[in-house]
Amino acid sequence: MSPAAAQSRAWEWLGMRLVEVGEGTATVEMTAQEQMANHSGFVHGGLISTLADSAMGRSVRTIKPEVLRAASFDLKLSFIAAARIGETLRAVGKVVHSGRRTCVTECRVEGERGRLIATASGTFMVSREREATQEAPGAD
Amino acid sequence: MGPADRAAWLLKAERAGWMETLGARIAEAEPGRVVIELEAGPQHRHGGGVVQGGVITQIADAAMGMTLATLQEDGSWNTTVELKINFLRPVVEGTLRAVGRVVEMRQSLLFGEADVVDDRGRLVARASSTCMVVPPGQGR
Repeated sequence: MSPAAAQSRAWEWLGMRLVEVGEGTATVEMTAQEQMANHSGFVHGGLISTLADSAMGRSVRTIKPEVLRAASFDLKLSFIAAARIGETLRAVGKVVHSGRRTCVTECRVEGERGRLIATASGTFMVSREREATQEAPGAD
Repeated sequence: MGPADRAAWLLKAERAGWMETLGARIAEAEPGRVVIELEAGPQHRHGGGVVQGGVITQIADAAMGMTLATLQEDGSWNTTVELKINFLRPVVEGTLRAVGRVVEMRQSLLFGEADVVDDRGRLVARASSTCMVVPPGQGR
């Protein structure tokens, strides 16, 4: 899967980019822009959540047998430090458990110099290669 | 009391009431890692014949809280303010181990995680929690 194939409209809009994929892992980056600020001038938590959700969703799609669609039905974040506007945020999603119908994932979001911004976990409904007959919303 | 002292204190402390009721015990304690063990049996099962989720949550919560407490050097303790858990595999019987680890320690909030594994080392549940610092002399 080429990084270019990862782009969806939302990814494009927020400037999210897939920088690395491995077996059960995916790294997605996003540079925080002015319009992503909350009232305190830091990056809005919803955008950090979006980034984490995307990295975890992408990590699910790296496992075998191939996952065609992954839709999160549970997403949880712990916001640990504030992220600054202009900072490049790096989310590393990892599959913790891969079942037939669901996958459990976790994620670390880091700022510059590896500063821990948030940790996340998500549960995804997946449709696999052979049984991908039903339409499910994509997670990307 | 330093981290090693507190870990040692946990190991020799009198078993708390809830632990007595549940049949749980502190199996290992060192700075940054506490393991709670439970011999799962019929008394822990719900109508479906498997160990009830609250039981698993209870040992995971304790493992996380105590793990964080081993690194609170100023004599403060903590209390859980938020907790999330994924149940990955049903359990009928056998020794359950909840292994805590530290994610991040801030001034007033502490972040922990725990893996609950069965007697074959398989991941049964994964939890994360946020704990609030309780100053010395308050609450214990």
